[in-house]
Amino acid sequence: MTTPIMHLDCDGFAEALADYLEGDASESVRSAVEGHAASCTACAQLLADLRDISTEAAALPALTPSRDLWSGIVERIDARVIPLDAPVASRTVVRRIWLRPALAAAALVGITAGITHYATRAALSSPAATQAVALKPPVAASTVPAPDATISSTATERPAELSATLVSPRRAAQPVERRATASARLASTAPGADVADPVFRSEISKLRQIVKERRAQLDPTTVAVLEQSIAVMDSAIAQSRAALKKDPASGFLATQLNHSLEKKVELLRTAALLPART
Amino acid sequence: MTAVALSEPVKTVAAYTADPDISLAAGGDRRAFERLYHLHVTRVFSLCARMVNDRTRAEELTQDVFVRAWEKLHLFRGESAFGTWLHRLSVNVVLNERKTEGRQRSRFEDDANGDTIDHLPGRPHAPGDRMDLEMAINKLPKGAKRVFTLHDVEGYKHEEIADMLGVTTGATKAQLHRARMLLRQALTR
Repeated sequence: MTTPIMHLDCDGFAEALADYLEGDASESVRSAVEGHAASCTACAQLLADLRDISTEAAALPALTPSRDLWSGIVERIDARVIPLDAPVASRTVVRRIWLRPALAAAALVGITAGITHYATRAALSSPAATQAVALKPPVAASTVPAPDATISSTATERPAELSATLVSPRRAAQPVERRATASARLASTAPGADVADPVFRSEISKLRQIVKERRAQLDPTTVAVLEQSIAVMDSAIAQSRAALKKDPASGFLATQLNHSLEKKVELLRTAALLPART
Repeated sequence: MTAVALSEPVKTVAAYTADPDISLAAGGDRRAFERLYHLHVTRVFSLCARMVNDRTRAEELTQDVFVRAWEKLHLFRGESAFGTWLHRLSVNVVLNERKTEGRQRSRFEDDANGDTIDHLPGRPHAPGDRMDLEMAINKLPKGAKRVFTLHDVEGYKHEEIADMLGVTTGATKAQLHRARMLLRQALTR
């Protein structure tokens, strides 16, 4: 039994062309397309043109960037001064991360302001109470390993219950090395020490520079959110510093200041790693 | 990225790949990663430049791709060639980019149902001219351009493109044919 021969006019040819080129046409349609192309110059030209376009597209030469892109890449890679808690897994996650610092900053202000108010009021009204807190036995060693030996008095003054409440599950899950690093930083917030310690100062300065340079690449809305968040964090940091001036023996306030600085570094680091114009 | 965080993935990469630069880069060696960058940057940039209409934007996306590659390199298991993995990562970065309103779009991109594109003035009747083809691709509607670039330029199969774009293969085939017809029209008028 022979397959009936199919004939196509130009419209039928045009309709069948896509399937034919994709190899989806049946044998009879293929024959009909080829038969029509053999007898119609215009349709044959169309078929040839489409094939040429595909062939030429596959052979298009590589394009070259107009400038060196590596320096910008390495800058962003280098922004990871401190390991992130979690890698930036996707653009979606990055977007969500933006909300977190903003919310965290708002929460920080509230918490820090409340704590500052409470602590400074307590310190002013009852110096003895402050002294009692400061003289509680060190407990940090139970949660922070050996490197804490270098922690100054402020860190070791933290009461156990404070340590338990202030360490979030996220922080608790951090590797020992990171907690130790954070603790080491805390040392520099000890009474008498310059709270803007070199570690934070250096990181913040470097990250700020990167963010400044990347500003043009970022979405203006993103930049606005970033600046707002930084302003809120700066406010929280300033409040903590002011409170620490009044109550320099408070490990609790030092911890708050440390947290605020860490949050700021984290936010800047996130900004530095943001893909352009998300 | 710390050595601690990458210690296990490094072993995984090393076990699967013969290219020492990939293992080294996964272990945090920036010089090795730079060598990989130089090896692959033109292909990544070419894809980005053809998928978006703006070379500056394409350069930014290329940087995004390599930053993302640095972050995800420990996930590369060597089951495909590194270039293939990186290329797929590039496609994902380009496709996932969130376009802000009216940004970097040609007027043709907004014409989702358009059935014509500008012809290229002063050109002879010669489909296949590479420069003109490049220009004509840039003028394609967004959907048609993506499918055409991924299929005819980059060589992906319809099933892969449909998976990337979250559409059916029927839709990608229709877009591809539309793109070819529009290109032919632009190149021959």
